[in-house]
Amino acid sequence: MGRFRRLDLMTLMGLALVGLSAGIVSGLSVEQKTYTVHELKAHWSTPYDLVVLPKGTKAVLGSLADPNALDEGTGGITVAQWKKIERLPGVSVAAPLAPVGQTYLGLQVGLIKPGVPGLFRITETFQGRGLPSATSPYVLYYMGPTSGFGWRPPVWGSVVAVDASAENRLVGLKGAVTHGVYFGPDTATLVPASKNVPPALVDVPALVTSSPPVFASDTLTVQLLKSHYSTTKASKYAYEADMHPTLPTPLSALTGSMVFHTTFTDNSLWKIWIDEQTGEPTPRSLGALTISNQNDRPWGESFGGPLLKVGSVSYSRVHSPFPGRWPVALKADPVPCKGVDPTGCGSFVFTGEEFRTLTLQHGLSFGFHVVGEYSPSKLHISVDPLTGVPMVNYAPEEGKVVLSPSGKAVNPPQVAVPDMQPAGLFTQPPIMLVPIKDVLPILSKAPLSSIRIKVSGTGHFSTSSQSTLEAMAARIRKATGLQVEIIRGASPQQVLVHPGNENGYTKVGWIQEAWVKTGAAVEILRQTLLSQDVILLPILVGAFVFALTAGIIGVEVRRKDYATLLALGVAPRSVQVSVVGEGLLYGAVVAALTLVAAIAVAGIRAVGVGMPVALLSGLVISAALVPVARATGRMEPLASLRESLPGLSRAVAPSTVVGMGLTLFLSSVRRQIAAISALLIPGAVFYLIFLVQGSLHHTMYLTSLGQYLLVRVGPLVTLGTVVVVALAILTSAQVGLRNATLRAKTWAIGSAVGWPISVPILASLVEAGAVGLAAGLIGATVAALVGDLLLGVAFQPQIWGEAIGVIVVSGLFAALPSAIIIARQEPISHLRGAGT
Amino acid sequence: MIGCYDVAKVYRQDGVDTPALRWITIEIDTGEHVAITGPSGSGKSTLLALMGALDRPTSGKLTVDGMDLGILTPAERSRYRFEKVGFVFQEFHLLSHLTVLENVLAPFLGRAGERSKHQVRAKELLGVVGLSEALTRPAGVLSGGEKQRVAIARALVNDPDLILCDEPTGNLDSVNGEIVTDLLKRLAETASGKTLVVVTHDPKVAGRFARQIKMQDGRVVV
Repeated sequence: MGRFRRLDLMTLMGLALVGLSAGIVSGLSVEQKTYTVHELKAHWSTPYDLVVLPKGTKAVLGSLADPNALDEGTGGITVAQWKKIERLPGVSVAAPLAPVGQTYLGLQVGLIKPGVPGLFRITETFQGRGLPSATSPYVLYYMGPTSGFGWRPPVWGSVVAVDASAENRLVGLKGAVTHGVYFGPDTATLVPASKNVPPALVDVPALVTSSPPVFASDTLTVQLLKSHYSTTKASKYAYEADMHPTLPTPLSALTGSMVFHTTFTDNSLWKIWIDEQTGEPTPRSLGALTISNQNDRPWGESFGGPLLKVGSVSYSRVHSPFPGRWPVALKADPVPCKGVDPTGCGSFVFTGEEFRTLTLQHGLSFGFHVVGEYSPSKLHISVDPLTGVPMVNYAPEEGKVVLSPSGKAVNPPQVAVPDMQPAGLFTQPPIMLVPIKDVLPILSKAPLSSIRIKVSGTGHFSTSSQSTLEAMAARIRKATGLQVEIIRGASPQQVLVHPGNENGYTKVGWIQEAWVKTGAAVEILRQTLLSQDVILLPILVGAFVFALTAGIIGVEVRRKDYATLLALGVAPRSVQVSVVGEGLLYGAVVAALTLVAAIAVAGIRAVGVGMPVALLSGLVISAALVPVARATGRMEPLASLRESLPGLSRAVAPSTVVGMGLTLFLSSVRRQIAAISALLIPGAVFYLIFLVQGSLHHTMYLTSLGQYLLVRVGPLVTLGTVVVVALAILTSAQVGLRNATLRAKTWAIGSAVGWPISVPILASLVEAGAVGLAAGLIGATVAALVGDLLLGVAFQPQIWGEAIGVIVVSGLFAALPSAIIIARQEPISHLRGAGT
Repeated sequence: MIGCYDVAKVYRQDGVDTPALRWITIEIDTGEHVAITGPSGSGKSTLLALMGALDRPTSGKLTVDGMDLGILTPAERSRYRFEKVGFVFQEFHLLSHLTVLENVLAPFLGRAGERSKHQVRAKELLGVVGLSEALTRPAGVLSGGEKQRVAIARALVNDPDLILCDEPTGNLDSVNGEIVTDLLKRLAETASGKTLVVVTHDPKVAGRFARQIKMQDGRVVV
């Protein structure tokens, strides 16, 4: 610390920063690796390890899987393929799901008796939570004074076939039965077809859920119309309206008075139905209405109903309205029906709100009897919020309406859940489970929509577990040609889904859904370790550049001192030794700081990593001064003693302040190359850091598991960025101060002849901006080429621009104080001495 | 008028105070031509720098046309130098990368519109100092005498009221010294009302001025 206090102070600050940051990064990397592995082990569990899906399923996009896809659609996997998978060594459970269909649960609500004769208009409105309401076409009744009408609300539930043994081993279904019995050896009866009578599958045993997961409400409105028509005419018009609901009739315009209005939730209706089935005592009324089972069958007897197959959904990537928050946005479209009987495809219109196609199962009738009730809450299903992926058929899919159709934020987001619409956007968990062996006769040739698989020996998080899973997935793909996704280690990731242009769902806007990001745990571990390596490397590189720049500038400003010593006969070697000695001293201080900081962060266990990093950082600092020492020893004393005002370039006419700044930039080419070299490495480092951040963004920032871990891992990236920014600023500041010092006489002359203070400041900023731009351009471009050619990471124009921007801004930021200091100094202090 | 009243200047370096001026009180009338003489280290250049607002007095008051230079902000001092003062230094202090004409026009950098207005005057002045053939030559390749003549043209280009010369012949041989001294006197005389203050330790140069202020050890002795 002598005449160049500011430079020396900056050098010491930079070295302290390098030592401390290298130590902190080392300590954090030890601590975070331990933490990350521990947490990944803790959250490694998922309900199943692999899921097998039909080949070419539309429900998987890259590493994201649709949580809806398990138990609906039209199947695609054969029983033979399931059996083949089940027999593979290492497969401990292979539990299939086969969608049987949606069935109408016959509930009779009634009897509604208005008590007065007349023409009545009956309207029914459905309201799903978070989804738009729908009103059915009205119905007209002409009733006498004592007559009434019954009402059958469209209560639907999905029936899914499972393998009794596999399902029990996978989720403990048998243990979750709260009433009745589990599936026994009973088998359903297939009644052959006879003339005009379709074949019938009867007495299929069924387990019914105790928690019907529907969340819609119905509103029934009955109006007495003010009609002047005769009974005969009104009946005729009512009949015509029923036959041609879209055509206007004389009755359409009639006004009416309300005689009945009630609203109730479908959940309550369903609960009543389940209690009926299981023999529980139940109030057989709902508000003013009495309820009856349509078939009025007691516990254990067969109950029949039509079956409808729900079409699947295909997803396509679309531009996200907010890519920073939701990088993945999908458009959901119903898959067109390709049924055997085209007339049946989509023919079932559900209150005008059909989203997916519905196919009526022709040619079969279906009867079942409830043997027991199970509680979904007693199933052995992972409930870990970080890895408890919703890709299970027992939990209702849930979303949040976050953006309106016009793209504006819905605040607070509105929860959207399954409603009574069997063809809705969200999957309803099954209301009934039936044994797959009993319903095979009525299912298609490839009836299974998915198979959930547990693999032996993969209970703990490790790279070998992951390898085992990958090997098993590959084996299943090879054996069956089916699509296999590794679910263990997956984590939910929020995506935006926009329902396609089908009917009323376009009114919903954008729904945020938790999709399944496969391979999240392994990817997170990889990214954590990568980020640690990539952050430490730039710090060491930045340290080297900083020390080199500090050394060069230190020698430059002391040039005349060294030249005087050489002129007096001091041996060049002695001068070199003094410079190297200075470097060794710096290196020792940095190494000590590194080790102390590492131990302070992670304790004594950090010595293993901290010691090599400390030695490396000390070595890097010391090594940086070796070329400086060599250059010092080769200095020509006379030339250095005579050196005065630096020569400036004539490439740009310095008639303006900007011209003067560019002239300064283009002058002293060797010095400017040194300055650009000092800054281009931070430019390259920034590109790499931004690449890491981009990489983290893929899984670390987006999945629940990643976000949880990011609280601990994120600061490392931030620290690395801050350190490199600080080193870039310090390096820039050194360059700026050196330039300002060297140009002090120029500014003093200008000041003496009356230049405004703004001239040296603006010209210095132009020069610093030009240096930063050149350094950023070269550094980021080289890093992009290295990333592209060596690491295989495609060129990222945005990151490239950001890296350049950071260097330019840090250059300007660092140059400003020096320029201001020099500009405000008394000119006389720089005018004394030799000059031109 | 220049007025120095009990002006002192002390330089402090590494905790050591070195007095350069000790309570000087002098007045120089507007239009007066004065030589300040004295041995090296007597404080004459320091006094000149204070008159040109290149530095501030440590104590005392220094006024030019009633304006107290000690209380001006850096921007006001810069403006003062631009509008009122023309400097000629012993070391010339040209910008070597600029041409002769650009050096003469250098005071107008950063002052929009001024540069183009003074192009003609700059060329006239360079003609007066005998360098009209050297307008585009880089200043760095000129001889010492030529450099000082360029510096004189630069000092006059903004038509200042006060011309301050610090050992203008100190780095010149005797022939060039004579030329420069003649030139300064001639230019000052042709522009009536301009104040000329020349610092010199050369008795021959000082002898050409009607008034001489002698300094020694930071004090005015005559």
